[in-house]
Amino acid sequence: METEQQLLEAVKTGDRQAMRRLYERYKGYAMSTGLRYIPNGDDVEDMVQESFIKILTSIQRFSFQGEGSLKLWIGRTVANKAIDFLRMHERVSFTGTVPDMPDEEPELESIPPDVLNKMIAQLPAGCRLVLNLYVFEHCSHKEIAQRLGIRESSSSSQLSRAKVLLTRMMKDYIKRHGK
Amino acid sequence: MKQEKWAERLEQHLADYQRDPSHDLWEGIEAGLDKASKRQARIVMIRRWIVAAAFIGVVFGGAILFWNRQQGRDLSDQKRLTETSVKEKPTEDVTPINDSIVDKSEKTNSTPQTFIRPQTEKKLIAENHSDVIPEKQDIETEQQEAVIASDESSSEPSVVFEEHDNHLTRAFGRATKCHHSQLLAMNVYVSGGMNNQERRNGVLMSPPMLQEFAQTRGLDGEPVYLVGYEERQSHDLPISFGLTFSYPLTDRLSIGTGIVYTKLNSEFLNIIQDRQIRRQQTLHYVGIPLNVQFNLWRWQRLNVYLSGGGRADWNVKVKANVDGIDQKMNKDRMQWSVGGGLGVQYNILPQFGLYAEPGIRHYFDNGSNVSNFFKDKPTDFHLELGLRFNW
Repeated sequence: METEQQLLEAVKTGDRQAMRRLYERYKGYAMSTGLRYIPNGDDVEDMVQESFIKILTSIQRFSFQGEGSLKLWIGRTVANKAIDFLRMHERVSFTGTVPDMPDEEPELESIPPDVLNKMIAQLPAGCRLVLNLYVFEHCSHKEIAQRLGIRESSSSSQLSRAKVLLTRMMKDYIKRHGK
Repeated sequence: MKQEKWAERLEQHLADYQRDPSHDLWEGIEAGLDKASKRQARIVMIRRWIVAAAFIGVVFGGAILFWNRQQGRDLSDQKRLTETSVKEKPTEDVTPINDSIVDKSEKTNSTPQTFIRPQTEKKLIAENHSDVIPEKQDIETEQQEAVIASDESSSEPSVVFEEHDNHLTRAFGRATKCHHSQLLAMNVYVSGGMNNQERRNGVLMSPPMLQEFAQTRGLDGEPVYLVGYEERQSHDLPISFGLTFSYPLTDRLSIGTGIVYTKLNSEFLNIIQDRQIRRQQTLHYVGIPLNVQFNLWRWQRLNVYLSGGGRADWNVKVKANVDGIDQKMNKDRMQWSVGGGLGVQYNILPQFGLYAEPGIRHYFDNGSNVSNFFKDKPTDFHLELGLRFNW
């Protein structure tokens, strides 16, 4: 199988076939990333298409840092596009109290990944953004605060809120499906 | 710690999840790529035209301005010469000439507009008396010297005459000594900081996590840094370009304002265990300064002065990208600063000089959460180099 570096070098020469191969290889990953931010599938497809145009037009600026770094970079680009989309199309609020945590915390591994992905997309926009940036983009609360123009404490409380809401959704799912 | 673990588990569980799009997106992507490459080619072409037009504009504009000013100056000097010659048209009689010289000396004492006259008079005297009584010439010379001496000893400090002065020297005398005649000065400069800034920070545990952690470990308000997490910041030297105008208030004091463009480049490297995320940030500011300049000392073409004042900078554009991909970022708030410096100016022409101004500037905290050079190094030494045009 073609390594990331080989693929990257071919894409950087302007080879359209190599670009197509890059798209085929990472389209599923890009879609799943987008679906964690944006609940509507059609919107996600539009956003993923825009993201690939952006990726392929700015790939000359990307510096390869080892196998896996290209995938990470693509994920980050899609996430950035998704954040822009969210800010443009949804009212993003970072207020709201943290509800009480259910007594029992279900095993998140017992929830199918596609369902869990959908659950994340159903969270309120503010805490959905913070959760995605913290968990999947590995941003610190300081960075999240700077990026979203909020306070560090707000980022922290939004993450706690996301965790509680997600736990409740998981509990409901387990109850409904008798696991 | 619990939240950290939970986040890790969540990420792990979804790490391999993928979902294909409902239809092939490649056609749209390819169309977008074609459009982008056409747009890029157009942008490159427009940029080249702008640069070429700006270069031609600066060269031709500067040449025309300089030529017009020189022409105007020569014409006004010629006009003054002609007026003086008409006024001082000599008569055949010697005595009236002597009278006119005496009159002149009186006039000279009473008015400061005597710049060209003694020379003209000398010429007129020389021309008209070459064929007249020779012994009178000595008397005239003595009288003339008396006129010059009276000029020098008069209260007007700004006029010095030389027998063989040329246009440039006269003009220098006027530009440097008759400072009041200068209406406006325009400064074009580039300014740079003297030290770039680098910093390495540990990453602190977030307050809610720290609370849980402290309870189990018996810590009391001590900061806890995450192992394997690091943040490195590096800020390039700030660079500014300015266009300012100054107006003389007194012989030594002038006040100035204008427009200053400043660019700040920063790089942030987040190290999360074995991963690195590189973020680059460019902030563009446009500022309005208000400065006061005090001339300390002048010697021939050299001028030493003190300058100081305040400046307000507005962040007009922000550009941030993570590993080469553009990212949206909030603009910085308005930035206030105060600064001062000691400048040395060397006048190549009366209307044009070069100056160097090392100085210090302090940037006040504007309360925003944008990390930049101003926040990391609020007090900075800088060097300003520029051109000064006098009118």
